[in-house]
Amino acid sequence: MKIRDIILVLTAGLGLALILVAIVLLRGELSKLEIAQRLQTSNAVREQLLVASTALARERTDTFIQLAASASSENFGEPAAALRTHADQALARAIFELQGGKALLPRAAESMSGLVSAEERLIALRNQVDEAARNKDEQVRRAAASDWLAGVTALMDDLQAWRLDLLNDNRPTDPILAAEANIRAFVDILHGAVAFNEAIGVALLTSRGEARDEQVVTIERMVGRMNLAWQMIGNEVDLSLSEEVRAAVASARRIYFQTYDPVLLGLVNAAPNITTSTMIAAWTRTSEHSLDALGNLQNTVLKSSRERLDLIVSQAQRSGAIVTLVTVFGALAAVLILLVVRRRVINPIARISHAMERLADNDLSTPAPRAGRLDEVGVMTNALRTFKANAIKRQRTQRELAEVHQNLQRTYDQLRNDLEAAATIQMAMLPTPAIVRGVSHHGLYSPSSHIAGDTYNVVEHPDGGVGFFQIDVAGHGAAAALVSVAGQHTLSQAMLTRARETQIEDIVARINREWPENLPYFTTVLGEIDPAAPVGRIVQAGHPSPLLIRSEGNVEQIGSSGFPVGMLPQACYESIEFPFRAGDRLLIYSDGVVETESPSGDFYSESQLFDLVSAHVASATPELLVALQASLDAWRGSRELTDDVSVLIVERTKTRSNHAIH
Amino acid sequence: MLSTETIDEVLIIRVEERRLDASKAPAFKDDVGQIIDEKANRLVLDLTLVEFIDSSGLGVIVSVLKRLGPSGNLAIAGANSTVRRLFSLTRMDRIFKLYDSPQAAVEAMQT
Repeated sequence: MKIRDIILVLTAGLGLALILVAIVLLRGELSKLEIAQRLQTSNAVREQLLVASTALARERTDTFIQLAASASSENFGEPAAALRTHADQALARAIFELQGGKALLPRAAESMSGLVSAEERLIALRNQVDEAARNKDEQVRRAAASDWLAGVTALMDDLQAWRLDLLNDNRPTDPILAAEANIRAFVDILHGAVAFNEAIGVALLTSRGEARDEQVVTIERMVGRMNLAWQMIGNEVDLSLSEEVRAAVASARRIYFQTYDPVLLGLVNAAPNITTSTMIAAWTRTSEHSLDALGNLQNTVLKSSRERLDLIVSQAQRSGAIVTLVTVFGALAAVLILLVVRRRVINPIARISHAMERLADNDLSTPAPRAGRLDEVGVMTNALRTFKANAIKRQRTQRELAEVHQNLQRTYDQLRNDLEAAATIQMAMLPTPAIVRGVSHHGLYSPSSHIAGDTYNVVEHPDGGVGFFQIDVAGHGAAAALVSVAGQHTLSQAMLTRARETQIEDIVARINREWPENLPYFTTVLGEIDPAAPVGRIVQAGHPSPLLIRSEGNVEQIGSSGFPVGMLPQACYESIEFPFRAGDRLLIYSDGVVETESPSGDFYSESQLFDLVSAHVASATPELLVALQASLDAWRGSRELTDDVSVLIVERTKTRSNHAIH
Repeated sequence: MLSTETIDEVLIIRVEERRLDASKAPAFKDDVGQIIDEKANRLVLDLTLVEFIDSSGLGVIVSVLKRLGPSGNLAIAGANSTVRRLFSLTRMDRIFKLYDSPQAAVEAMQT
C-alpha cells in the first residue's frame, strides 16, 4: 500500500467518522427540537383548554347561582352574556391552536372533533337554561340548575380528560418541565374542584332537607380530593423549580388554607335555614378569590414552562447550528489537510521514490527532484542529489578504470601474443629428431615460461662431421631467451664455418672472448662426432657433465668442470675425447633437469638421473626420453617449473656404423 | 638480505637468504655494490645460510669480484656441498678461495 493510499484512507476514515458523529449529534438535537416544539404546541393547546375550562367554570357557577338562588329572573343573562362570550372565545382559541398543531400532535383531530361537539353541547345546555329562566316555577328552575351543573361539569370533565391526554402523549423528559406539568395538572384538579364547590356551596346555602345532606357529602368528597391535590403539588415542589413558581405555589396554598378552607368548613357546619344573601355573596367572593389565586398559579407555572421550553428550543437550535458549523469546518479542515499533505509530502515523496527507483536501475539521466526545502523532504532531496552526483562520479571513475583495465588487457594480450610467437619461433629453431650422417638425435624441451634460456642444435659440417651443442643462458624469461637465440646462432655458425684444423675448444674460447660483457653468460656442452673414427669430443663450459650410455649398457659421466661462456674473457677451455661407437649415446642435459624440485623442495639430483638412465639403457632413445619426462613430472607433482628443462641425446646409429666397419 | 661485520679490517658480508636465485640476484648485486663502494676491498662472502645458488646467483657473485677490480680480494666462506658443487662445475673454485668459515677466511687473509 502506498503512503498516498494510507493517508487517503486515514483522512477519508476521519472525515467519515466526523460526519457520522455530526449526524448522530444533529439527529439528537433535531429530535430534542421536535420534542420541544411538540411540547410547545401541546402546552399552547392545553393553556387554551385551561382558559376555556376556567371560563366555563365561571359561567357554570354564575349561571347556577342565578338560576338556583335568585327568585326573580328579570336581570338573568346580563352578566352571563360576557361570561359566555369569554368561554366561547377560549374554546375557539383552543380549536385554533389544535388546528395549528395538527402535524405535531398525534390525537389532534380526535380532540378537535371533541371540542366542536363540546361547543354544540354547551349551546344546547345554554338554551335549556335560558328557557328555564323564563319559567316562574322555582322547582323547575332548581331542577334546570341541577341539570346545568351536571351538564357543564361533564363538559369540563371532558376538557380535562383531553388535557390529560395531551399531557400524557407528550410527557416532557426535562425534570423541571415534568414537575411543572404535574403541578399544572394538580392545580387544574384544584381549580375544577373549587369551581364545582362554589356552585354546590350556593346550592347548599339555598337548599333544604335531604338535598342538603347529599350536597354536604359531595363537598366533603371534593375537600378530600383537593387535599390530595395539594399534597401531590407539595411533592413536586423542590429547589430545582424557579423562585417565581415556588412563590406562586406558596401564595395559592396560603390563600386556600387560610381563607378558603375555613370558610368552606364553616359553610358545611353552618346551621340550616339561616341563609342570607350576604352569606352567599361572602362564599362566592371567597371562592372567586381562591380561584383567582389558582389561576394566577396556573399562569405562573405556564409562563415558566413556556420560557423553559423556549430556552430548550433555542438551545437545541444553537447546538444544531454549532454541530453543523463544526462539521463543515471539520470537513473543510480534512480536505485542507489532505491538500497540504498531498502537496507538501505525498507528491514530493512520490517524486523522490520515482527518482530513487530510476537511480537504483542505474539510470543516472533521471532528473533529481528540486532542492530548496528545509524540512525532512528537503533533507531527503538533498541526500538524493548528493547520491546522484556521487553515482555519476563513481560511474565516471568506473569507466576510466575499465578503460585502463582494457588498455592493460590489450597490452598484456599483445605481450602474450608476442611471447607465443617467440616461443613458436624458438621451438622452430630446435632441430627435429633426425638421422644426420649416421648420427640420430632426439630432444626434450620444457620452458619454465613461454620462452626459454635453454636451446640446443645439431649441425652437419660440410666435411662430414656432426656438431652438436646445448646452451643454458643464466636466468630465464625473455632476456635469457633472446640471448639463447643469439648463442645458438653464434655456435651454429661457428660449427658450420670452422676450418678443418680449428679445434672445438678454440671455438668456445673465441666465443667466450668475444662475448659482450653486458650480456648474461651461458653454460654449454659443445661437441662433435668424428666422421672417420669411432670417437666423439666435447667441450664442457660450466654445463652439467653429460652421460655417455654405452651400447653394451654402461653409463658414465664425461668431464667434470669448465668455465661458463661469457663470464671471464681470459678463461681457457679444453676438449675431452671419448670413444663413441655404433649404439653409443651421449645424453646432454641442462641443470634444470637435476634441479627440478619436488613439492617438498628436494632436487631431482644427478644420482636419480643416473639411476633412471641406467634402468633404461635397453630402451630406444624416444622411450628413454618419455620415461625421463614422466619421472621428472612425477617428481615435480603439482609444483611449477622454476627453471628451463632440456635434454639432447645424440646416438651413433648401428646400421651406419656396421656398414662403415664392413 | 645482508648483514655485515668487520673483523681485522676484513668486511664479512653475510647473506641471510636460503636461496640466491634469479629473483634475489638483482637486489643482491645492488646491495653488495653499495657496500663495496663505501668500505674496504677485502671481503668475505659468508654463505653459511645459503642452501642453493642458481646461474643468476653465480653471475652476480662473479660481477662482485669484477667490481672489486684487480686490487680486491673476495673469499667465499661457509658454502655447503651444493654450492661447492656449482663452484667446482663452473671452475669458480679456481677464481675464488673457498673457506669453511668466515673466521678461517679472515685468518687466511691476514697471512
